[in-house]
Amino acid sequence: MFLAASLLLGAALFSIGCFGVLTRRNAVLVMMAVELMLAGVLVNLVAFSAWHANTIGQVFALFVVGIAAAEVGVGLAIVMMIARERRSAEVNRFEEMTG
Amino acid sequence: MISVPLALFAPASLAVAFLAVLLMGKRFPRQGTEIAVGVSALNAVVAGVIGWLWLAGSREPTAASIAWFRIGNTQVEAAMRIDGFAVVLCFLVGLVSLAVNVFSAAYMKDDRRRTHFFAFLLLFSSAMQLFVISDNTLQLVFAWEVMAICSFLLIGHWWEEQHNVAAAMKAFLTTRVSDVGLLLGVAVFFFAANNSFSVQALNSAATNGDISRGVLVTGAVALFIAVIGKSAQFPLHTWLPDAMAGPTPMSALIHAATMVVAGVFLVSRLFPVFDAAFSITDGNGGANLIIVVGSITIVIAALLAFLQRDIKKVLSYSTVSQLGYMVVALGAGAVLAGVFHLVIHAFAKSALFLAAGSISRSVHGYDLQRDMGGLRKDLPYTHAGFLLAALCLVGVIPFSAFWSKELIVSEMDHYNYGGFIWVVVLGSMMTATYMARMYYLAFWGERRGPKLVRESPFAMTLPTLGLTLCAALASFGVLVVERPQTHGTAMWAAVLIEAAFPVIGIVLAVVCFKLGIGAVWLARRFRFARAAYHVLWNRYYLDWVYERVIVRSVNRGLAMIVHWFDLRVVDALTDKVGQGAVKVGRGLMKGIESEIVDGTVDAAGEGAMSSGALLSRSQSGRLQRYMTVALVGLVVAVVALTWMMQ
Amino acid sequence: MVAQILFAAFAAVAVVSALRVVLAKDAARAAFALVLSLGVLGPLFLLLRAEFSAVVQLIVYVGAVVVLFVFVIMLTSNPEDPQDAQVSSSVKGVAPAVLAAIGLFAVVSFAALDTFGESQIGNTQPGDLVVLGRDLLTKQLFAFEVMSVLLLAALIGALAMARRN
Repeated sequence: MFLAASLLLGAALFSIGCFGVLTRRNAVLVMMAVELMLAGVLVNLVAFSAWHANTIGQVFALFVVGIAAAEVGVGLAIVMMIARERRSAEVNRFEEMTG
Repeated sequence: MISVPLALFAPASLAVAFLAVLLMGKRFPRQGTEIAVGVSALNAVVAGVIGWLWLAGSREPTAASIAWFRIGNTQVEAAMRIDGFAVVLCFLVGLVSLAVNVFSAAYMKDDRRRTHFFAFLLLFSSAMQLFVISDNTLQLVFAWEVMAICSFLLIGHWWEEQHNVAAAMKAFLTTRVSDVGLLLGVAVFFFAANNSFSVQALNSAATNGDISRGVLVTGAVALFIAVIGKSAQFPLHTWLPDAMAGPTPMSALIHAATMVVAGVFLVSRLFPVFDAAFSITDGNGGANLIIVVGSITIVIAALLAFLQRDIKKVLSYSTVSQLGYMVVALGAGAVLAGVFHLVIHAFAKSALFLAAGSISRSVHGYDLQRDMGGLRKDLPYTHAGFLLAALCLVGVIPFSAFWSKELIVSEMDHYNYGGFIWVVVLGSMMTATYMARMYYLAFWGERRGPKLVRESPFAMTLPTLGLTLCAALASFGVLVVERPQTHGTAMWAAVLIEAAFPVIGIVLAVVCFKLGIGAVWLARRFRFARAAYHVLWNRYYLDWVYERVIVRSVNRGLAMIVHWFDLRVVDALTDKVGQGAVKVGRGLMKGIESEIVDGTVDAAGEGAMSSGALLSRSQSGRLQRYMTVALVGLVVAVVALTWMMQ
Repeated sequence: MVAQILFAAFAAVAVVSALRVVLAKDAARAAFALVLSLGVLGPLFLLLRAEFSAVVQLIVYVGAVVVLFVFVIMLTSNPEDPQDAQVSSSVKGVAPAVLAAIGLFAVVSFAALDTFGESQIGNTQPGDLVVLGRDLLTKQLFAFEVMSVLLLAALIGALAMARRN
């Protein structure tokens, strides 16, 4: 029972995170939504680890956390630099890739 | 049995020499003369060896053939037949060719194009030797044509002068007209002989009566037309006298000994065919095409020989006349005799030509009356050669032509061609007379030309004398030839007549000279003589007929009609087509090109631009928009996939 | 029984907080909602007998990452433009994302329920930390080391970028 519920939770967190990534106008908030997505992944991993009753899932989860941390650090540094240049962190202002 | 490679070596060696002289001759110190003389000597030796092997051996003909090519179901073979005729003629060609080459080494010493001269002499001899050993009508045609080309090239050797070129063209075109007959005949007989080019097959088919009458006569007439042209019979003989425009040694080889006898040889090779077509040897002895043409030729050419001032022209008309003899012999069934006469004539006439070349070089001219006269003391060797050769040719007993003409006559009698015998006899009298005239004018009487005359070098007199000797020795051939049975007393009568007439002819000539009676004297006194003189002087108006009537009418009439047609019909048609094309093009341009094609292209362009503008709005540059679209797409895809997999 | 109720409660808090994260008009509010959402996952992991993960979650994720977020928000917020934290205003902009998110959730949950609906968690004992540690340093050593290098690279990178010149 727990497994199914955990998977549902993971799916929910992930979807909400997606929504946030696609919708938020502030770059930092987008990154927060990304963290939500990663949290959903963690839930999945831990749930499966419990289901299999071995530690592989947790190890994987550890690595995910580590990567998330690295990503947040670098990402926020970038965002800060851009915000400094453009005096704004608004996502919609970055339209250089327009076709 | 002569081995095939040995026989092939003869023409092959000459052909290789031709190429060698043509390609490398100029590098030699004597411009290729060395190669020519050397190889023709080798060739003569080989031909001699072949001849000796033949005489000493079994005298069985060698026939050999190899597969050549294939058309549909027909296999064509390259064939050779080496029998008595082939051996003799091969030897003849080799020997005369050698003599001419040696002679030319001296005669053409300072010539501007002697390399080419020797090259074409060699090619010519090669073709003639190939001709005599071939057993396949295609090969015969091939060799025939190669000889025609060589003749053309050699007659026009000094092509810087227009009249030489004209003479060469005349020779070539006249023989070309007759070559139509050759090709027609070969084609007809190919089908008649069950799709075979083999001479053997053709001869046996004719003998067995496998060929229908109409086909046989058509083919035989066609082939004989070719003989008329090539062997200078009436009415296509006009090219031979004009061919004297070429160098004299060439005339000795081609127009005395070899090419002109190609026609005669063709008839002798295919004699069964002609025999079947014209019923030559059936014993009834009626007039047939061959003997009639030959007889006419003998007479008219001999008459013309009286009137010539140029020594070479006398000799050329003499050649025509003698060829008539050979043709008459063939037309009367005397094949062996005809070939025998051919051999004698070849040696004697070529000796005479070489002698004429020798004389002309010494007196710097060819005119009998203007340049020559009284030369017998100053040109002893040339004189000896000329006299002996002339006697051989005239046929005073015991010289060569007597035996050959006697043989011809007895065979004519055997096959009952009695009436024509008189033509032959009359012809031999005339031969004697004009020969005597020529001899006398050149070597006797007072010196009319240059005072200081020197004998020709050894290189020129030796071949002349050599050939004369061959002509004399050839009379021993009579011992080899088989004789038909004839009536006893009639034969002796014939012999006497034969012996008598040439002598009569000579006496006549001497008398005329002593009395100062000549053509001019006769013409002044007798109107008939004058008319005859005019006819003869204009060579029976034949040339006039050919040139003015035939050529001009074609030029004016036919050419003009064709020109009109070309202009009014063909050109008009082309113009209309062109104009039509332009109109159609313009219409297409406007209707299709401008409206449809351009319209389509423009629309395509517009469409691309507007759709591009439309689609470029989706490239907003906003990442989130992109990602949304991606996610939507992903979800839809997954749903669809799962649905499909249900 | 108790575990299930607790689980449900934690899960509900997590989801609601997550919604707050993505829908808050205020960056700071969103950040604190993130804290709550991620934080409640820790006890949840405990329920799943993944003690190590629970602790890691709380220390690293909540204790470091979210703190970082708070700092950055503080540093980049622009008093002149308070709107920039908002979700895009028009419905037209939001609808596809909403649909996509809902669609994604539907697909994944359907897949999960379909496959694992009847499964039971097999973990009844506390997770063995010794085994985990041993795994990390033997079987997964390579990944472990790579992770270290990655973190180092991130550190250097961030430093390099944040310098003022």
